[in-house]
Amino acid sequence: MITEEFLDTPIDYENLQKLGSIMGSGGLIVTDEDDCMVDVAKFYLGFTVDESCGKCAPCRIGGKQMFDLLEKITKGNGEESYIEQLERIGHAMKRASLCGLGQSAPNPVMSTLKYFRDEYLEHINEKKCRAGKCKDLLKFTIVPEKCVGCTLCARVCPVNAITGEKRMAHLINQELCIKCGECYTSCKFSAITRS
Amino acid sequence: MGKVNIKINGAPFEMEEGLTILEAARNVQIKVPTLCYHPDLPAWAACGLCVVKLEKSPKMFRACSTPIEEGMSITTHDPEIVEVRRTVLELMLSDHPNDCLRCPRNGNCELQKIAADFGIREVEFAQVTRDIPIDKSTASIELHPEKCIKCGRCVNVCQEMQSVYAIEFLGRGFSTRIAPAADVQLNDSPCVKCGQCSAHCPVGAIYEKDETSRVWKALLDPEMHCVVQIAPAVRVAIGESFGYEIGTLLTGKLYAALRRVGFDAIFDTNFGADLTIMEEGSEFVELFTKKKNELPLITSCCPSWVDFLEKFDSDLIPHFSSAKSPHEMVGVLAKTYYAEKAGIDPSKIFMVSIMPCTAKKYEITRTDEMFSSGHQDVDVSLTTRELTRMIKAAGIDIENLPDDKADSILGEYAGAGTLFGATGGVMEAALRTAYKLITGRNLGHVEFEQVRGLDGIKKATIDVDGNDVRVAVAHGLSNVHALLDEVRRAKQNGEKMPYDFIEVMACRGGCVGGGGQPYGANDRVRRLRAKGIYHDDEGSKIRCSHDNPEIQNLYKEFLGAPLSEKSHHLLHTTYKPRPLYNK
Repeated sequence: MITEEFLDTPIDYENLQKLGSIMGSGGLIVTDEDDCMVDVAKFYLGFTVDESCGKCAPCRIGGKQMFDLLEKITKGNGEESYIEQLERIGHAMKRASLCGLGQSAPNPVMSTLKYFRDEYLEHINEKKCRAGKCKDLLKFTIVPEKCVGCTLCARVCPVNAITGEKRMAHLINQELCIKCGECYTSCKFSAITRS
Repeated sequence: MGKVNIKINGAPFEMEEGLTILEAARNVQIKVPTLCYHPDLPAWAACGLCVVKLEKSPKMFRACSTPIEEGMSITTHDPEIVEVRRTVLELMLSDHPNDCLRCPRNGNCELQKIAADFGIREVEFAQVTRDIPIDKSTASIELHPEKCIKCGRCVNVCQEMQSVYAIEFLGRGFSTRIAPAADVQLNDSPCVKCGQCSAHCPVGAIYEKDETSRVWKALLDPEMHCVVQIAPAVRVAIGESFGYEIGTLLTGKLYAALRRVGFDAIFDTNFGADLTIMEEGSEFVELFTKKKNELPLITSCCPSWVDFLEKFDSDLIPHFSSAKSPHEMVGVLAKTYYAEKAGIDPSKIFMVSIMPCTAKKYEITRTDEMFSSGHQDVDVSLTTRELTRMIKAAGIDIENLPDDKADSILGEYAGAGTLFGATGGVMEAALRTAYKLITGRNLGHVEFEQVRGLDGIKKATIDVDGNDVRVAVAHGLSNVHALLDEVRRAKQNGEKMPYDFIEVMACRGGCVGGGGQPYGANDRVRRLRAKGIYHDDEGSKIRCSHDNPEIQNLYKEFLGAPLSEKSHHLLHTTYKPRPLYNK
């Protein structure tokens, strides 16, 4: 993961490596503010955890431990010490893993920690995901003053978590809500907030 | 081999080409920590503890599997390397149960030792230990995969050293675990119970089935007459667990310790070894002088080898010596001959064997013939490691204990009997007696140096009064097939057999390197233990089994002659093909 300021970096092995990225198969993925950097790091780490053969200890256990830490952070159960743990394990994995998979597995975590550390801290300290990707950190609520009772949200909700009389303000049952966001995108009156 | 110039931590050295960084560092008194590395096995490079830095490379390298090269400049220790090793170690500990107090490896665990060396006080990472079912299916060893650190030693021993292929890595990534191939129970797998996996495991993931409590119970029972026998290789190895030099011969102290532990009579498996030689030697002479076309005779005193042959090479069963193993012979005689003479009800005799071996635990109920006294001939077989724990639990100060003697009538032994503990020993002992049986004379020079030592396969042609006896000795099961295939080829082509007599022991070095021996065996240790065995032989007044007066008495008073009907009934067994996998 690199940021806007490095857009002029020539695409070659050495320069990408210097920035903590790798060439891989040569593909580029461009993301915007709708993507959560913690979530993206977890996605790519999850891939290498699945692909680990399990032979060497740093990759086998390190990958699993890092993934578990990210999982806790994205679920709102993170602690600030996790960042230090992630960096410590990531460093050991890069240095002591037997093959390229384990050596490069921590890259997405290490580079997002470098360039998007504030997003990690937001997840941990404020239990907030600014991109809205970490569903466990989300809460959808209906603002009664804005709700006209059109019933559209109740109809699109896949788990019937929204109830209310016609032309009356509706209510989301937080225990049933799966944070899919269908109501949020379908509401024509901006009566649903995401926080 | 040429020499190369390298630098280790800045200091220049000239070293032999072909060494690994790990070996080079050890040569100059630098210890690089390892867990998966074992000198018996090819480097596996799994644990990641032995990482070192090389000048001009941004990567770290594994010392165990990187050969030194001209001009190499190696850093084995700096703060970053130590921190990386420490993190990897903490990761391993996060995937290992903190169960040291109740673990059989408490006090001699390699992981525990490294954790102590690194001064680990807490592990920063969450515990991620998994519950994996324990496998207690065999009579010999237990598999506790939740303790496994995936160092791969057991798998490599089982496959490379023993060519049994009973255990394998199953799953991948974090789900990797050690289990028999196809995820069957160990007892349903090709496992031959040699226990080399347990002897090589750095932690408590594979270990011998502990049966000391059964022995304590019998010792406490006033109705039971508890008798014990010790195998040849135990007496030269057990001292290591009490601070003695490797290979120290502790026969007298062991007898004394066993008496203190509470046994009513102390016998010696070496007596049984002498008897095995009388029976097996006579079998050989019978074939060699009258039925040459039925040769070669193959030794059968190693239970792992028996299991291996029954599973992998059952076509050669007709060549197998039918003589029981020495401790089974002592077992059956304790409950017949000894019981009669001492006037003890054999059902009240509790026979315990102290063996360097895990497979003996399986052997004691292998076939109906292991009950030929009318009772189970050997009730419990303990490993050297289990006896060590019993002696320690009994509070016996073995160092200051005066020597004791074994009890008549199954206790005396010739030097030949003790040789059974080392590779080539059964052959050597048998040749001493075969020479006498064929020529009627005793050998002048009884040592057969040709069959000693740690070469995987040893061959020799011995002149017995103008007759060539062609012998071959193999140890470490992966060496066996080269010999057996020669025999098969000769058979198929109707050619002359390449050998008359073949000895096989499953474990490298023979029983001195057995799967139940004290931890830490490598070739140096095996040589020193074997030296103790040869020392015992040389110090014996009687060198040949047939000269053992208790053996002569036994035949006179009880058995008649070797291969007599009574001998056959009590001292011989049968074999049958067994499947590699039980359904």
